[in-house]
Amino acid sequence: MSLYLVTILTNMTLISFIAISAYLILIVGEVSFGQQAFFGIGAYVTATSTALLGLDLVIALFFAFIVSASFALVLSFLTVRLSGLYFAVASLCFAELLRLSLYKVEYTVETNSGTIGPNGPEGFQNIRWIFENNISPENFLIIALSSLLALILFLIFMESSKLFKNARLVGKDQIVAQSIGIKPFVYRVSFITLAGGVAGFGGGLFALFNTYIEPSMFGIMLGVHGLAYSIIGGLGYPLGPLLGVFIDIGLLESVRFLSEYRMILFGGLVAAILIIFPEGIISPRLVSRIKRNLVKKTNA
Amino acid sequence: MEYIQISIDGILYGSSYSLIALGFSLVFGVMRRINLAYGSSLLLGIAAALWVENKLNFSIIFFIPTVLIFCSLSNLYVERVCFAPHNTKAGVVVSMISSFAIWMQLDEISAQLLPDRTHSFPSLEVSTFEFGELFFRGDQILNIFIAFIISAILFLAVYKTKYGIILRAVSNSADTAKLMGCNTNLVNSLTFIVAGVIGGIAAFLVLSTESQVTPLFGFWCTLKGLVAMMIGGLGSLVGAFWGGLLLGLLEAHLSYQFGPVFREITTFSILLIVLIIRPGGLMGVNIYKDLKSRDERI
Amino acid sequence: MLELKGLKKLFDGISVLNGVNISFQQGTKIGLSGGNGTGKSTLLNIATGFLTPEEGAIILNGDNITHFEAWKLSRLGVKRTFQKVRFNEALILKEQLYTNNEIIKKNRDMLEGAGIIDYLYSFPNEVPLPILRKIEIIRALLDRPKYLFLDEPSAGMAATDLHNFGEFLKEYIDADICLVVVEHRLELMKKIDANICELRDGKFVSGNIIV
Repeated sequence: MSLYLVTILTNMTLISFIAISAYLILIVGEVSFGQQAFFGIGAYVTATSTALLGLDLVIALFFAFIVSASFALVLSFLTVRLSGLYFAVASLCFAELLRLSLYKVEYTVETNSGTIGPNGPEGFQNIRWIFENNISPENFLIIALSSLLALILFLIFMESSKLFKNARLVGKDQIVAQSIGIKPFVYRVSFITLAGGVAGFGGGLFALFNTYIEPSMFGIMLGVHGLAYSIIGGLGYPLGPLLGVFIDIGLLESVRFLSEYRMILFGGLVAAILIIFPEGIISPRLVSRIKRNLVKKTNA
Repeated sequence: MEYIQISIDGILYGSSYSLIALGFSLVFGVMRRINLAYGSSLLLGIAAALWVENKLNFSIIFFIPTVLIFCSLSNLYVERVCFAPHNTKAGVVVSMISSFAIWMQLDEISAQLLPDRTHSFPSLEVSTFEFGELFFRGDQILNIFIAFIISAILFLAVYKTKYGIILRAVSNSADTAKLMGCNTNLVNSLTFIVAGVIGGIAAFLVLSTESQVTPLFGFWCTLKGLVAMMIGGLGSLVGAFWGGLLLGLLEAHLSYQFGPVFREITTFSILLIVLIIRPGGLMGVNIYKDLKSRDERI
Repeated sequence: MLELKGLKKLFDGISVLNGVNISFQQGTKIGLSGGNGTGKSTLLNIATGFLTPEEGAIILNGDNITHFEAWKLSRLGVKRTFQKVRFNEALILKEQLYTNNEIIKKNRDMLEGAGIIDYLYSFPNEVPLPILRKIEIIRALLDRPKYLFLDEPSAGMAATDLHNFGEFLKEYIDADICLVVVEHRLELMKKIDANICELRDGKFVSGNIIV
């Protein structure tokens, strides 16, 4: 595999984590413009744990998950009364505040391989985990892809659980949910928290892959791309967000003569897809139809 | 004295937020939708006008109408692509995402029209004047004056004219308005065009006080306009005007006290606090309640 | 016993309920009638926790539950249906019963008797309204409610459907459930032998229980 292909695949894998975290929040009926901040927090936590504290990959990523999930938990409690547009804007504010405060985080250590540690606007340099452990780009891709695969399988497995069905009901119609005894608050809080954790995990992998992170990488554009991927991909099945990622990065970026006009094309493409498929390509209705046909076939 | 000067600067700077927020507010007020591509459509209007001006070299008297025409056209494009196809209740979120996608597209087109990082922009030759020890920038005084006039005209148009009644009917319930014989499609398109004209005036005034334009202008407009509008109260015209001034005032004081990063931090903390404590904004509480009760209607 | 005591409710300063007292006993059937805007639906929404009253109390078996949210009341056995059926257009109806296969199997008789078993794999927009109403009621019944509130179940139903619907209610609603029907149409309430109370100007018209 060429290095170019490996890099594109790794980027696609990493941004899929943001897309999936946006997807999880969309399931409970909210739109978040703030998943990039949890991605960023996960990146900073992982960088600190590996470069400064010398912790293991698994422990570092676990920390990334926990810390960003706790920030997301705070967001879900702050926005308890908000929904729709108001939640979207509040999540954006929260994310930008977290990102801007990263500009003020300064704690650096001099080592013989250079300065490490968060250094305000300069960012966190020399995250050398990949080099120290002799991980080739291909191997890193395998690590990232297998985590993504595990996450997707988990979500597919959970899709038929009562938890996810109730969560989808909360997202669709809180009044019916309440009338059959479901407490919307619990689902909202737990899905927003889980989404924060997933984004943070992806951010952790991103920090290791990129070896350098700075606050400006985690701006609103990143989060809203993730959101757009899961919306055009569709909310019917966990593969939806991946389809969205594939359409943008896989299709547009890898075709080189298109990449100069990628934003113009992608913007128009998203708008066009939404006109044709307002609920995304893999819409819940499509998934139900396929399931029903499968049931009919097995019965026949 | 220093504090008074900072307050004056802040309020005058805030007038540009007010101008942008008014256009935002008009669209939200009528369609109950947020147009994230608003700033970018203004940037595109400006970029296209500058591009034409570069080719033809005409004077500022022709430049202003060109800006307004291009701003309305790009706004109309946004309405046709992002809002007209999604006019159902489920379309609220979809149209927001769609407008975001178009935001990226318009920004990129503007970047192709304005390849350099900064471009000079024709400035209005209005002199600065002093009042005792206090300085006032003439062009900013003009901004606040025009913002006030535009909000007054809009207010009168919305509450005192026949067009205003139609507008409010559509905003109250598009379906009912349709049954009453309103061409809601036309009303929505016209609203976007008017928002484009207001935005064009706003963008021209803001950029001429800065006397330059950068590709980040679209993002800046959307963000500050959104924040100013939400502080004042979603969909309230008066709220948008005062929200902008308040935002300018607070930003000026806090960035003076704690340094420039706090300009941004202030923007977001104020909005977050307002949303948490008073989600309807300082002046738009009724609209918030109205929307909420509509969602919860059984 | 579910008691509503001295309920008052205002909408934008206009009084809708003005000191309503009523108690619902398990095993009874009650029909709430009244003209448009007399507060029937508001009463139902308060009793099921979807609205909170400005004044007054809701008491369930002696406990004050006035400020309980709707989901909590539902878990306590106070269930309801909606004036306008609420279904997710993107899911087949079986999924929207929100229960497991065992319970569906156990209640096969009811599903068959109600004539909805053939519709379980359909989407809501492929199914006629009377069937959807029955499914909404069955969704509540499968969860063994103690109090069941139906909000205008006959809205949009033809006379023949109404007869069938009344039979369905008589057949499948257990004797120990308190059934409360908010209705304009007296035929349905007579069909299920409900005690009828009439609301007027935010109060029950006294002593007019039509049996």
